[in-house]
Amino acid sequence: MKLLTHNLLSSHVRGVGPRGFPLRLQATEVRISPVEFNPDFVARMIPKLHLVEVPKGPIEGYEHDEKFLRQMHHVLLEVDVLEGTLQCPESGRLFPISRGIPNMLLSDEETET
Amino acid sequence: MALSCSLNRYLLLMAQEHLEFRLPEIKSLLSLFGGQFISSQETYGKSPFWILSIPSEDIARNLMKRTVCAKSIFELWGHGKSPEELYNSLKNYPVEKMVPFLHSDSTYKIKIHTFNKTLTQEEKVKRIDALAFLPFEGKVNLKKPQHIFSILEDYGLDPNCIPENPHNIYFGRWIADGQRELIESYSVKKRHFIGNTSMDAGLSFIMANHGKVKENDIVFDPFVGTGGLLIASAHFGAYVYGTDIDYNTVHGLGKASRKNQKWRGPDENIRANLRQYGLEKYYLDVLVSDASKPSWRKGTYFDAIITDPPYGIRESTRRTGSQKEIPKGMEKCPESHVPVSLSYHLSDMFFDLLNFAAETLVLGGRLVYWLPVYTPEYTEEMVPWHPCLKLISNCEQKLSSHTSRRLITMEKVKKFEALK
Repeated sequence: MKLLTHNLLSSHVRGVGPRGFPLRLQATEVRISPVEFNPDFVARMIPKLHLVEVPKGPIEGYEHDEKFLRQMHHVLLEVDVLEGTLQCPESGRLFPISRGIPNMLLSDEETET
Repeated sequence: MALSCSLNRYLLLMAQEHLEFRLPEIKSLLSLFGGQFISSQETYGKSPFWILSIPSEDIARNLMKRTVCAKSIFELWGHGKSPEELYNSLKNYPVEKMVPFLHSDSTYKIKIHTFNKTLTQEEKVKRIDALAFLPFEGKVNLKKPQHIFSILEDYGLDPNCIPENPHNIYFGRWIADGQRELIESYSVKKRHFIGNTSMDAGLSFIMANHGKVKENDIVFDPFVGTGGLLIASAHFGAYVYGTDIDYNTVHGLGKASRKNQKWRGPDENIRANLRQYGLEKYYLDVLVSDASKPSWRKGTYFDAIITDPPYGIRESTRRTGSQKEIPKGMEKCPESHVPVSLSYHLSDMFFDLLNFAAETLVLGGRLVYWLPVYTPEYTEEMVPWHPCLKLISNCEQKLSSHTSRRLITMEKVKKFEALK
């Protein structure tokens, strides 16, 4: 699972709503997989991210800041969590990640109406 | 004498398959490249010859870099219902537009294609010679000419009734061929990882084109299966996400779908499929997830949602449910790591899908999906609708005498506002 994906996922456990983000990530196995750098794609993704710890957001003109884009590229697309868990911050419910694939399935009782 | 207005007119030679899907594909691609579909022809029906007005040759070339429905495009210099009409039409084509391709430093050749009839070599040569009145000054080069011109003769569509004379004759400068070779190079027969319902390669590219997929888009398939639809989008430069409720399919485990093969090998999963075609860099992630209970944070992330939902015929339609809803005698499915499986009423699924698309597509983004139909009862009112999504096209593919499926394309035209 890439960290870009982690930023787009939220717990859908019943009653949790927007407090289901961000899921707490515990990684037990991580792999760095090189991915071809595409500055246009990375620049497009920046506005879609919800950067919880950065109150101001990215600096103006980030689309042309290659150093910044390369850093974001590495973090978002090249860090691959192979084994671990995602945890709902509100309910504590765990979603396993195995072979790089998160399993987000819940039973009917656990999900929103 | 009619003034032949030949400004920017092109002739598209279409492939004769997936007839209903062709016009929406061309329209979608033209709008993707800033063109607009303009034609003086009223209907196209089954004909492979389409005359369009396209603002520039660049747009025409971009169109051909994407289409799998069109074989070739020509800059149309003349046409008519008889040789005389054709020659008159050519005489009316502005000479200044011909000259750049005919001057003495250039090389060319003239080809002749006949549709639904075979001509002898002698007959072909006669027709080419009849064009000697055109101001060709360059040298003929049959091997590697700079410019290729074509005469196309249309003898209709009925192989049992071939007319003496053609219905239409066209003459034009060949510009480019379409992408029909992708159908063979991406054939499911050669793909490492397939499922029971893997999409035919040609249709998967048509779907990506109906979806107006472009470079750097994010495309999502909520019923991803073995990822065939993602491959087409990745080929056009989009980054791809997929989810599926079936754990084994997403992980590439379990029984193989190939004849003579028992279990899936280690190289059979969605990521491997993309790797097979050199498209691994476009793989974002796949997740095990119930499409009716998505896990995406609120927001608009997807430029296109392109999917083939389960119909309940070959793949079972499932959704997670609660303990109390299990009918007596129904087992849990240990393989799929789903607590319980329920049959998911088809119309609920489309309601969920349209709602999901309205919420998560960017404005202008497209939803492209297959709708199964019981033909004797089908009416247009049955096509699901949503206040935020505009219906763009509805193309039928017959499956059997009573069933068909329709490729529905919708575009998000209004921001989604949740009911308060």
